[in-house]
Amino acid sequence: MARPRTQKTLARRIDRDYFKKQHPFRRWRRILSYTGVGVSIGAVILIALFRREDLYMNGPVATAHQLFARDCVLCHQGQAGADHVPVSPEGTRGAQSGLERAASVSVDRSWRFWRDVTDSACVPCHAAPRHHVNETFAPGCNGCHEEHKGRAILSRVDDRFCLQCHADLRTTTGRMDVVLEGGRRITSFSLDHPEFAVAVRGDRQIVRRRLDDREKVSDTTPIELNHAVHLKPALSGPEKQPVQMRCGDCHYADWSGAYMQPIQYERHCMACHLLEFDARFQPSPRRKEEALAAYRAGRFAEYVAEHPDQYPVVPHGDPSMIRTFLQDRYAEYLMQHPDVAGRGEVRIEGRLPRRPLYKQLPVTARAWVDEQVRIAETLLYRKTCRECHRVVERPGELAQIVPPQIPARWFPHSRFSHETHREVSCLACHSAARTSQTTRDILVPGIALCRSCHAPGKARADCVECHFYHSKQDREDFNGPFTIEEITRHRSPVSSGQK
Amino acid sequence: MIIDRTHRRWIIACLLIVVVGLIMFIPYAAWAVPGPRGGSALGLAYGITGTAFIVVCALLGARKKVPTWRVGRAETWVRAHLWLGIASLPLILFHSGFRFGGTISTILMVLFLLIVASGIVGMLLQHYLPRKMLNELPMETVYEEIPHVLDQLRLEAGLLVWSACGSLVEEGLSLQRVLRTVKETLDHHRKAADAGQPPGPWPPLLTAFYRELGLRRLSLEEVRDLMDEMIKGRSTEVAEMPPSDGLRLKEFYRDVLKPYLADSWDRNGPLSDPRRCDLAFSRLRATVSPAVHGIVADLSELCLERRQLERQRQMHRWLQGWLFVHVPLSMALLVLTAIHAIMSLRY
Repeated sequence: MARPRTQKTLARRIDRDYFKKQHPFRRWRRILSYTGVGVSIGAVILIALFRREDLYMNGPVATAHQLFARDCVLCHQGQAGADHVPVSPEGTRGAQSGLERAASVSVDRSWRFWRDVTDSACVPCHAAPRHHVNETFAPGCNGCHEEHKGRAILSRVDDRFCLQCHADLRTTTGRMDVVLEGGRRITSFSLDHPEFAVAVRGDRQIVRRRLDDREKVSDTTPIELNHAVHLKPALSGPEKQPVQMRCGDCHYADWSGAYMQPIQYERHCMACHLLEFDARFQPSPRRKEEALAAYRAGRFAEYVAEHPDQYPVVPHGDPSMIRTFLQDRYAEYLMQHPDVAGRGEVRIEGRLPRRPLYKQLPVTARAWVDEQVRIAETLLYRKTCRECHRVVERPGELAQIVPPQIPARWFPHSRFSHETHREVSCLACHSAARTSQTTRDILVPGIALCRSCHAPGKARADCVECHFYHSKQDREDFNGPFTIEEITRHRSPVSSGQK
Repeated sequence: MIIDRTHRRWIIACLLIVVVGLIMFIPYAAWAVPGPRGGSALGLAYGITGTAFIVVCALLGARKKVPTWRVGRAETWVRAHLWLGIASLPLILFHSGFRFGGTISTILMVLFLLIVASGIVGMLLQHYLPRKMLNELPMETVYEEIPHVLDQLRLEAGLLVWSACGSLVEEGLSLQRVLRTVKETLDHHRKAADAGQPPGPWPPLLTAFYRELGLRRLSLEEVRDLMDEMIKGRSTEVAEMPPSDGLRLKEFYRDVLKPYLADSWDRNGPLSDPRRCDLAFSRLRATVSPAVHGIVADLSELCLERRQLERQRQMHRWLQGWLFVHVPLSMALLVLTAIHAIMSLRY
């Protein structure tokens, strides 16, 4: 007989009130749910107890603000809807000096629900000079510098912030210094960034000329240098030995490696271009090895100054100093050779313009020295100095050397670092130096060369890679408003009188 | 819940919301000056919409607590929970700009992803497993009642073996006597209840009977009813059975069958595997006389039912287990979302 398994027997198996008894499954689910709520609320209470509101941050604060990372109120002190601190006519936000700004700083730690960040939280430390005198709109600090985006550098703002204006650039005056191709749009370095514009000497002031403006762009620096000649092989070097000059013989980077230091005659030119002025001042036998060792050690100028007998040359200075030097040397020469002043070649000036007459006449010592100085100056200012310099001569006056004023930075609106490009050879970028025969040639590379590396998918090509936003010319000195204690304990600064 | 064509409207509506959100997000992410942020107008709109969806999803739990309230059909609530929950994921990602952010927002995002992932796993399980159970488990019962049904199976198995052997608890003790004792005890309890007195102690016989058969949850009424049926059905077979068969059955019952019918499941037990189970019963059938084959077949059917109940238990764990992740994390998410909203608005 089969085992009884009817609907009735099956139905009898089930307790009709089974749902009233809580199954362990449900009980544990409920316990875990309460635990979830409890843990969440407990975490919030612990955060409040330990004052760790920084855990609510949307992301870590920037590296520069790590010191204040846990003190939210230090920056979040404003009220909702408060406007940013406007840019003053002088070009900075808020008060002018650090101490004046410090006087206006007070951290409001009273309880208030709305805690927005306004510019007043930034200006005590960051004066934030204006971007451009012609700007039509100045965003608030946090309009461009995004905090809580990880340990990033806040000044590395995204291109989108720049393109707020530069995608359709307008100025208060309606005109711009550099005319852009196809209107005023700059949306990308690789697409529509105009050709670089270098700062060159104009008629009265420094002007910017685009490198593709072939007619107008030229280096107007009043100095002569032939790069092609200097790069020739087997040039006659110091002490007449053959040399092959390299770029680094004259162009040294500054301490940061970013920019090249100005060329100095004593350091870079003197070894080959000695300022000799009179064949009568015969040098004593030169100690070539010593001189070359000094040259290699970068001490050639000092060596020459210490051994005037070996190197009878005029100093590289202003004409009055050269005249005094020449008068001293000729006076010394006269004392050593008194017979030369008995009769001398005297220049006789006539009233009509004609070739000067020279006669052998008896002269005084003073007249002889003056005459020798004049002859030496004529040699220097009409030949030797003019090798490189522009000399202005006026009758009856000392000659004037026009200061060269070679620009240290050719692109004043951007930055460049030779240090970060050290793996590239100089001539790879400044290839025109090989053939350049005149100073008028601009040897800085154009945008096309930069784009070969700086492009999407290659080296960075964002705006801040080269450009500054805040004008560094208006940057304040290092005398900030805070003491160490105020900085570390996040206190308001004391008044300027106490400091 | 089986996902069928009736879900189409929900799927289309949620897909539409996500697509509209995506169409708005692409230009917003590409050209918005500070980039996609939760604090921008559009970021807040995404956040508010996503949070609203999450709250609606969470209300399903509240809806289950008060099934009598007329606030929409339970099916509608489940569908809303399912599809709004899935749609809330892209909206929250748009809100966050696909960034995890700080500590709390990262915790929130991780919780949310775990909840959505567990929900999708649950959805798939709920879609496939019920049909599988329907096909594979004809002896399925109410999940919560499985221990109770196991008690009944143990009673049935014990009574079958007892009916074959003539005695099980102690030598010479017949089923009729046990049944009589059960009835007397029930009668005694009823009289005591009528008199307002506490029920007296159980007779030792019944205690030994319950212990021997491994009964834990069955009431005396249930034991009585089942014994009545069993005794009526098998009273003739017992007399015709050889004593050696009874011994073999008793041995099989104590060594193999009783442990197998226990509450705990030994996956390596001799009857746990269907093939090994068939083999064990074939061997038993070969060693006993044909008169006992009916009882052996019944015991085999009990084993089949036991195996199906265990399979049901396993499937049910899959069906409900994901809720151990989904529900507690959802509760934590709701609390932390509220905190995140308040603190984000404040700062």
